[in-house]
Amino acid sequence: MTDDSALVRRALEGDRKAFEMIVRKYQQPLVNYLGRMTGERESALDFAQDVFVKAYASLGTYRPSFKFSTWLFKIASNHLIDHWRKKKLPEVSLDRPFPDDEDREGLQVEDRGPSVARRYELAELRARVEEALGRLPRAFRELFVLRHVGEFSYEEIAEIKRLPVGTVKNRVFQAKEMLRRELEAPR
Amino acid sequence: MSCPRPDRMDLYLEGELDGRERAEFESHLRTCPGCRLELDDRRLLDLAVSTLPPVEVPDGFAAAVMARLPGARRSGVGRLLASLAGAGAVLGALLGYYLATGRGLAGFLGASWRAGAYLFGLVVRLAATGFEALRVLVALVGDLGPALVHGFGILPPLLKAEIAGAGLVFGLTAVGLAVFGVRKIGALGGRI
Repeated sequence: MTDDSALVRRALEGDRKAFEMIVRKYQQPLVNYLGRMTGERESALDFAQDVFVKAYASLGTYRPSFKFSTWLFKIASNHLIDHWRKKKLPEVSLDRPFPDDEDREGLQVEDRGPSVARRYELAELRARVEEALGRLPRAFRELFVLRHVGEFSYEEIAEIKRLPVGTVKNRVFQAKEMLRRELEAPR
Repeated sequence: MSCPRPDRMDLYLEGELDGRERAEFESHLRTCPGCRLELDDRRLLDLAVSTLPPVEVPDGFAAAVMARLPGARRSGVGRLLASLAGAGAVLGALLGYYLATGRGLAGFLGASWRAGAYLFGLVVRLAATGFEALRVLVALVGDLGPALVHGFGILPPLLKAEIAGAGLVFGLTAVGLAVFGVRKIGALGGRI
């Protein structure tokens, strides 16, 4: 497969086909991420278009020393934040320190008894996970989605969100615990 | 080894533990049914999350994105040619002004400033001059040769600084657009 940096260089030289290849390569992961963040397919598709248009306009600022996917998802993440700010929806800031960020003992969880996951068939578990994801605070949901749906490394997420790697690991774990609690809650 | 913390279990499943910690954990698992059960539970949840169905992307999505992009980017050669054309216009205006008036750079810049400040008036005057030249041409159409010479001959003295100033404004605009690009100038201040 053609290297992203080479595609970007060709796009900057006016080769629109090269940018279309970038779009085709990243459309699915980007829409997955935006879909899980917004909970609406149509919004996710609209936002994904906006993100690609923004990326095209800013292509000259991309530095090949960074991964293109990281750069693209940073644009997407900022786009979502801008959208939520405009809609004045409350959000949990990732810049705010959490008391247990560095307190590893705080990561202990209570004994929940019988397994949550094994109570359901996989298909039902997926449906419930999908539903429960929408109830997580956005800031936690985003890190969780980047890690477990987007399959970014912790280091890449730290780069996208400009957070320390340890903080990202901790919050992804917290997000998963929140998700488990949501799954346990009676519907 | 005592039972590991849940976050270490998740990192184990993600392959994020270093070799020593992983070995200790696996050794503990062999003797602790509770941790094995907990690990299976976590593995199942990870599986459910990682196999969530993709959000469907319609076939025409990429084409729709491409249709929203601004016009084709100018190639590097195109930019160079546009820059040279812009620079040529500036130099041409400078040279023309010098030849017409015999005055140097300071006079040229002063004239350019005046020309820019009174741009609207310039446009009106240029139009009037054009119409005047056209009238002269039409009036002298019966005597084409000498009349044409006369008609074109009256233009340079009428225009001089205005032509030079207009050339400077046009040239600088062309250089700016060629170097920075319309899109980049338009995107200034935009967040990525």
